[in-house]
Amino acid sequence: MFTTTSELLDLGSAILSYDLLSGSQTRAWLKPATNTNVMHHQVGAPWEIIRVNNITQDGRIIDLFAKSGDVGMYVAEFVLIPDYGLVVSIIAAGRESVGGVETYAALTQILNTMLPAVETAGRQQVSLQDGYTGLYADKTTNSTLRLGVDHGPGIVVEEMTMRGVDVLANIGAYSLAGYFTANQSSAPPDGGAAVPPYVDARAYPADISAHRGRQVSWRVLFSTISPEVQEELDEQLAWPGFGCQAWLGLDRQSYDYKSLGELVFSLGADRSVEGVESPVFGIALQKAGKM
Amino acid sequence: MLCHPNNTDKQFYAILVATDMALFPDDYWQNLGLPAIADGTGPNCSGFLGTRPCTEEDLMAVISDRPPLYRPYRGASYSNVGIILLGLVLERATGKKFDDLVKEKIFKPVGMEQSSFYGPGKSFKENGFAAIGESTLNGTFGIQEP
Repeated sequence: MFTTTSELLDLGSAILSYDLLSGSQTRAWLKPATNTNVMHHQVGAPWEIIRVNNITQDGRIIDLFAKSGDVGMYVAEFVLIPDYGLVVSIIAAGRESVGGVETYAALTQILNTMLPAVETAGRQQVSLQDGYTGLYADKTTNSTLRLGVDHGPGIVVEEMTMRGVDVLANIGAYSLAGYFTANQSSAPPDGGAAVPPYVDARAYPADISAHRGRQVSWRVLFSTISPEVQEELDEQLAWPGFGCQAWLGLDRQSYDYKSLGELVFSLGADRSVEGVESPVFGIALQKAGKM
Repeated sequence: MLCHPNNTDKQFYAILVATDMALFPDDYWQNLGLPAIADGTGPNCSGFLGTRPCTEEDLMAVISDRPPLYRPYRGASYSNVGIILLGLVLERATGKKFDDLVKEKIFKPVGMEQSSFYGPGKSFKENGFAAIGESTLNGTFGIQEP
């Protein structure tokens, strides 16, 4: 096949923009079908999925959906990075490029340069005057929500006070286990109950919106396993990461069928963030300004 | 290592009705800032802790007007509700009750004579173990058994 990097970028963009296949089809397609004996390599159809985790400061895993090819002394690399909506196209020729190491080295350079920059830009974007971070308040219910960013993933929930109650400090109490412990009833607290001293609350976009994007759903994850506890667990178990069970615990804390971690942001016609609602608490807060 | 949900899909809530806090209305929740629930609304089944087991009608009433959690095929999220629905689909497709289906297709062919969804088998008297204070042995979770 004869082509140009520019046109391959167009192809990659068309795939990630769902121009050719639907969103569901595309998301189902950009998935691994099997693993290999290298943790960083998975195989899709036809993707060569490369899992990198040493690019960003928090060491998150970023999946690269790549397709490599070569004939003679021509080598090509086509990479989709759905997590960031990026496309990379490398076409190389010449003796030095045979074998692929040069193209992968170029890809590495691109990732090391671009991804941290894109990540920083993302943090700056949510921190703009009309972005997501800042202080939200509802005076009538004495409720406040303060969001910020740090070097970790998502948006940090720095403060969450609902009807005067510090939700973060009492996060363990929002459970049947907490309820039964507090009431000292005969029913046992199935699985730990005390108020955890450590909590790291981060919000992530749920990719669901309504009203032409004027309402956007996010989810807060309340992580109560500290780095110290995580280290202990890593030593105790045959595999690392036991403390990171986000995929298992999503929406486990619910009250009247509403998730404790659901946040629905309201955007103005100009896409500026104007407020946020917590459906479970039944409180809508207005964006008060930047801290 | 920081934890975040880079894989989540499933159009439905992952909640298990059995652990919804509003199963036990109490000042305790209001003291935590949560709103009171109007009488007659809210979850009232689970099979746990003295509440009645949930039925298919209970489940459908709950999920039919819940918004999706994520768009399809974003990733994967643990979902008790998803498996419960799968159980209901199997019943519709085969015309058999879920536990009969599992007995016929899995337990019997494999020879799992002590296994069942409704109470421990005969060997429990000799080999079974129940922790002090265990609350889930006497009862059923209804459609949440899968």
